[in-house]
Formats: sequence, C-alpha cells, structure tokens
Amino acid sequence: MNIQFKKGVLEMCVLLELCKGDKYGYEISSSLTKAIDISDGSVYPVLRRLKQEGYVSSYLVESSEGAPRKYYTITEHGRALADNSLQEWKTFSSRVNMLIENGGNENDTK
Amino acid sequence: MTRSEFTRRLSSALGSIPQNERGEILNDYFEHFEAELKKGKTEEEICASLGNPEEIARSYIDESTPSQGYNDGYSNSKNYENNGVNTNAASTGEIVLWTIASMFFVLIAGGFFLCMFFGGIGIVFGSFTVSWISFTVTEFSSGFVNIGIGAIFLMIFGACLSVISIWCCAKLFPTYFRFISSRISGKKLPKQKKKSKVFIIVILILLVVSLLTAMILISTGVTALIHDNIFEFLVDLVHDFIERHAPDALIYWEVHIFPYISDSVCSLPDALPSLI
Repeated sequence: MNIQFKKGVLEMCVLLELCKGDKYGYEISSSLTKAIDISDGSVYPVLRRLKQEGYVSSYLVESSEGAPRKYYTITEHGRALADNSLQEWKTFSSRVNMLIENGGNENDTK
Repeated sequence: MTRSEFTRRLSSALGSIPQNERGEILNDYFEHFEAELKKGKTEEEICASLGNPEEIARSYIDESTPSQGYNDGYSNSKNYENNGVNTNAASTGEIVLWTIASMFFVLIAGGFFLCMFFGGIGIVFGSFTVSWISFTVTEFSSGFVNIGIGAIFLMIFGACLSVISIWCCAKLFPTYFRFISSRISGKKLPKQKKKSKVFIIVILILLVVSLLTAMILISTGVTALIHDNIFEFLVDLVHDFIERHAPDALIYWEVHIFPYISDSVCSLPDALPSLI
C-alpha cells in the first residue's frame, strides 16, 4: 500500500488508539503495525509531534521489569482533533468510494 | 543490522536535533527494543520492522516543522515553544550571553557613575586647585593638583567605559544575538568583516592609560595630603604634650624649635585642612 496513504491516517489512528485509554509507545506501535502494516519506526515520530503540539501528554510509569515506561494520554485538544479527523475521514473515504464506484462504472462503459 | 548499529545511525542522522531531545527520541526506541526483545524477537528482526534509521530521523526533522495545529491559544503557544527544532539548543549560548550582558550593563552603570562621580570631584578639586595655585604654591596644594588632574583622568576613564559599554550594546550583542538565532534556525552565520577594530583598540588603550594615570596622580596626591596632615598633626601633638607636662618648656619650643621645623606647615592657611 502507498506509504503516503498510511502516513496521512497514521496520526488519526494514533489518536483513536489513545481515545481507548492510556498506552505506552510500544503498545500503540504494535497494535497499529498489526492492523495497518506500517513500519514500527513510523509511530514514534508521530507520537512525538502530537505531544509537542499538545494533543497528547506523557508520563513515566515505573515498570517491574526494567526501565520506566512512557505512557501517553490524550488531551482534550487531542480528543477534539480525533473526532474532527474521524469525521473528515469518513466523509472523505465515502466520497472516494463513491468516486471509485462511479469511475469504475465509467471505465467499464468506455 | 544490530541494535547498536541502528541506534548509532539514528543518533547521527538526528544530528540537527538538540542533545536532550535526541536523548528522548532514542529512549523511545530503547523502550521499543526492550519490549520486542522480551517477546523473543532478535535484534535483526526488530531493526527490520522498525525501518531505515535515516528515514526515521528524517520524519522527526520533517515533523518538527510548523504544522497547522488546532487553532486555539494552547496549541499555538505549544507550537511556538516547540516548533523551532532547537528550543534548548542555545541554552549554553544564552547563559553566556546573559552573563556577558549583565556584566556590561554593570559596566554601563559603572561607567556613567565613575564618569559623573569622579568628573564631579575632578571639577571641584580642579577649581579649588586653580584658585589655590593662583595664591600660593606649597606642598599641600600639590596634593590637590595631583588629585584634581587624577580625577579628570578618571573622568576620561569613565567616559571610555561608557563608550565601550555602548559599543558592546550596539555591536557585540547584536552579533551574539545573530549567532544564537542562527543556531536556533540552523542556518550558518555568514562571516562578518571586523570593522571598527582600530577604534575600539584606541578606546581600550585610552581606558587603561587614563585609569593608570588617574591612579598614580591620585595616590601621589593623597600621599602628599596625608604627609602634610600627619606632619601638622605631629607638630600639634608635640605642642600639646609639652603644654601639658612641661609648661615651662613651651616657650622654648615655640621660640627656638617650632619655627625651624614647621615653616611650611605654619604658612598654610587655616582653612585648608577643613577642606579635606
């Protein structure tokens, strides 16, 4: 799948993951890579930018097994952005789907 | 690729990102490695699924360019704080800058203070000196002359100090600010030609020379004054001593000794000591 496609929705997916509850970086990374087949390394830069822009915040939790884990939690702004993005995504994808169906029909007829 | 190779390549590719932020980023991957290793994956596998370290680094550097954030005050201020790649890049530079800045502000204040204070003293002493010289020249007044001229040199010193402080504000600080902003924006600073070097060297020489001259003149002047005062004081002391313990000998002291040893002291006007 085209890498640009994935990049575009990655931010939204990260936010939606965090809407379900606080998670640490690796958890988000592994659940997303399982679902949408992106490289593991692509989630951390997104998380970092979201944090810098105030959509998520992080806190450290001491772990019984080794180094403390950095947990991410979504902020109100992040939640608003997630809702917004999801809405946009839904309209956008449905329109694209429509276009594809129409286009497909057109192609068929030609 | 091994874990250490991945980390090294990522770290060096993140070169333009400041040290502490780079550390945070590398820590994210440290955690990732730890978690994956616990799952039983090999370093090779983990690196393969992470992807190319240079590409990852590029996404950090691209990510940190300004993006259209959610339009409210909070995220805007956040953007303002964090979007410049190096929020903390200039921390050392800033410390140096503010140390120097505060030093020079003290110098400015000190320069004007010295200029006015010693200049004032110079004028007062100078005028007294001139008026005194026109009447009589004695040991005592030479002390005044020295202090007066020394104070005028101190005034020059203060003026030079002020000029240097102003120069620092006008030339040195902007250069420093440019240097620091160039570090923040990541652009290289074009090298500047060094102008006004001669001017500032002349001022510096004048500064040192005027300070030294002033110090020498004033110290000799003060020494002369103290010398005179002590002499007079000792004469008075002897006089009091004789008066108290051997009043009979007082006439002998006043007639036969005192005129010889204190000719110059006695010729001083009574007003002078009270001026000091």
